[in-house]
Amino acid sequence: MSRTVLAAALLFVSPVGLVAQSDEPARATQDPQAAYNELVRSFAKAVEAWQDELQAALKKQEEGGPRVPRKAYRPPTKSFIATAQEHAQELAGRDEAVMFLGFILKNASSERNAIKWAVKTLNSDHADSAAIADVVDYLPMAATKGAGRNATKLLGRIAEQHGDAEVRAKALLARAAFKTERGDSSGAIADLKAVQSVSKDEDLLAEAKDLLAEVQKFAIGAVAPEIEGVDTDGVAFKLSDYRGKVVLLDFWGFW
Amino acid sequence: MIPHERSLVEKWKDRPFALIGVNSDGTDTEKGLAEFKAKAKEMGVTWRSFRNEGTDPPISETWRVRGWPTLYYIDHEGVIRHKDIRDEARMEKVLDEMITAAEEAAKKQKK
Repeated sequence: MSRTVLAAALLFVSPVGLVAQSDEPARATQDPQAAYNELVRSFAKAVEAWQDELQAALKKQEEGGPRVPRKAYRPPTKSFIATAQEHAQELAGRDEAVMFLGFILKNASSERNAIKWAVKTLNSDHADSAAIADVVDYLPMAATKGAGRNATKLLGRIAEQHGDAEVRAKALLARAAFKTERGDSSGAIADLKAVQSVSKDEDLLAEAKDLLAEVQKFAIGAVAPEIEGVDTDGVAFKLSDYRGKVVLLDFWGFW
Repeated sequence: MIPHERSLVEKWKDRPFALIGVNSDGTDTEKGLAEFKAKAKEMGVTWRSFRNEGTDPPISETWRVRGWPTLYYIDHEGVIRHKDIRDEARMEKVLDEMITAAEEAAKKQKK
């Protein structure tokens, strides 16, 4: 995020967030930021309660109590995702909807339809907006949580076509991190080099530089980093002991 | 997977090739080690493996491994040449080329 956008966002958040404590659901159209703060606050509270409950149940199970049912492992996302969706619909077409759509991408668990809808809406209504910068980091998550190619396509659209160079850079960095996770190091390297030629933001450039160094260490063409470890019998040895031989390094287990 | 790897180790035992594992079966506990040894014997696993958790952080974390198995093809000079080729025929072809290159490099050095 550029400094000016960040400063503007902070100005907007600070007084309102503390006031929105009432139990009345905030009206998104009147005060989107207050409604958003309220949603985030109540969701955090519900997650905390769920975690405490799950931990207590697991402890009881360990002590011989009843088996924890599968549904107890599911985070309490459903009603909050529904609320986010309602707010986003109330704000349809306005860029304040983006934060609610981002909330869905970030927090939805099994609500695949909501994720798909959020990605579609971001793509049709907000892809060229400044606000989209705040949600690019969640698009890879959305891709793995059900939106699939539509999420990666949107990320690509922002990375390549957004009017603001810094937004493009942010999307490129998010896409590089995603490609790294997927083992596509050459793709990640290309995106990270693009960040370096597009962005002037120091934080973003530093992040890109770190990730680039990390990816290049394990990319094809690099000298394999040394492994100094112990074998399964506990005898110490090193990967470089095998110089002169071709090594097929296999991360494996019987399990 | 394992039967094929065993056949590669056997086939190239007199050539410059080593299959090195990074094993995540928890062989740092006595129970884990006993189970591992029994299974290794049963499956004919004769090659050497690092204990994945024998370093801090585990080797798979340092190497950013996200799925198992993950394969790295490292040449005689220690350079990563390929990754994650799993098709058995392609595996053999690629490795055979790499091994031949290693042998040629060794010959040159002797001269």
